[in-house]
Amino acid sequence: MNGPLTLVEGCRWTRVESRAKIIGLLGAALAVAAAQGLSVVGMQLALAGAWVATGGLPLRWALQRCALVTPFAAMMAVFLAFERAPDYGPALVVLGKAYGSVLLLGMLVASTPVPELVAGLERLRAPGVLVVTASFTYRYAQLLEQEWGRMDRARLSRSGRGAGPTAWGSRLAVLFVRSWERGERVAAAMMSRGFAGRFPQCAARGWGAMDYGFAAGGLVMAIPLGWEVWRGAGRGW
Amino acid sequence: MHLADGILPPAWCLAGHALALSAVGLLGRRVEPWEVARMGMLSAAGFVVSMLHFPLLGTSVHLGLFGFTGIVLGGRAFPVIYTTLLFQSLLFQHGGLLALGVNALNMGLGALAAHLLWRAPGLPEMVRGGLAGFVGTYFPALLMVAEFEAAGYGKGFVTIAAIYLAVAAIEGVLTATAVTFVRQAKPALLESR
Repeated sequence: MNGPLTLVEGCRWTRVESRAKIIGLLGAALAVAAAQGLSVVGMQLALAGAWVATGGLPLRWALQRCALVTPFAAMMAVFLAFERAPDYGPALVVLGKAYGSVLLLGMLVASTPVPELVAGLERLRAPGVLVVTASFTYRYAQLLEQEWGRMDRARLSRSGRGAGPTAWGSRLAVLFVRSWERGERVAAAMMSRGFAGRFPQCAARGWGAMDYGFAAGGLVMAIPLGWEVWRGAGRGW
Repeated sequence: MHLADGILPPAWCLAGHALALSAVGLLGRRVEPWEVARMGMLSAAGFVVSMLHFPLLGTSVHLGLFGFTGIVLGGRAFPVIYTTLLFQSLLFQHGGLLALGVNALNMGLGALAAHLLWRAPGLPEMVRGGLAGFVGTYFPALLMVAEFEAAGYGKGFVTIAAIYLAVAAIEGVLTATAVTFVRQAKPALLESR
């Protein structure tokens, strides 16, 4: 699942410890979401862009990430533009916030392999059931995707046409039944190897200056927000 | 149906995370080791299903099968849906990480409502399956519309609610068919919760 939109080779932030990245980027995204004024969101967007560029992530990557969220964000902006016309500021703020958040959280995935991300969540005391389920999901989603592809080819080789709702329902059911059966086999195998409901984790390495600096990124992103509050510009949008 | 970041006020997102993580802890408590593998596998299946897009009324929608997940997993559907949404958010930008809690609450509650409908007595199994599939999708859509209304986005979302009526109807038909198939092929799947 580490395709072109996920892990990016050569990203400088790969060296940062996963907890520092989660804390820093979630904090920064929270600061972006809390902003109200257009100028503040603009400043935060510029800071997020600088953060992305410093990490060595290409512009193409940033544009791809933004394109993914555009249909939804643009729809929200259009609704808001109609609701608040002739004040189009709120619509632009929503677009800016969506792009800012997408760039920040995109950096998390671009610089962290999924298993490390899951380990980071566990070290941050995320619920155990969530961590283990996420580990299994990551491990098996690719396999099930391939299985779905095989089922699709089998359908085409037998019927040679598109499937109706009944065939779709049955295929989905087959996918779930196979997943269930595979889950039973995997569970039996893991229990026989002493699995007690959680995976062992390697000890986390200590934080260096880079990790602390990255985790403080959320604070940097909150500076424009503080300026907004100080100026009292945070009324309405 | 996946809310992106920056759309809802941050206080709502934080409250959503607190509620959703509490629900994950509550509904995922005392999970047996053998159960975890099954939950992970169904979460992976849900993730794969959510990648199947099809065109509808000029837009592109994807399946969620929250109703079917609710039927099969009951309360355990909530942590499974949370995990699926986490991966969708991280890998495909379907929904933001800040909004993950609100998204998980919307869709997880849909799955729980579907499970309650599935267990309602007096209706044929296929009808219960269809209703559960419909509610599993439409209930989250209504919750989302209500959240937009409360956040001041205006009445445009009535249109979205109408589009999701069609999506929910498709999910209802697919769930009814899937339930009928599973009853013949692997009845244990429907009776585990």
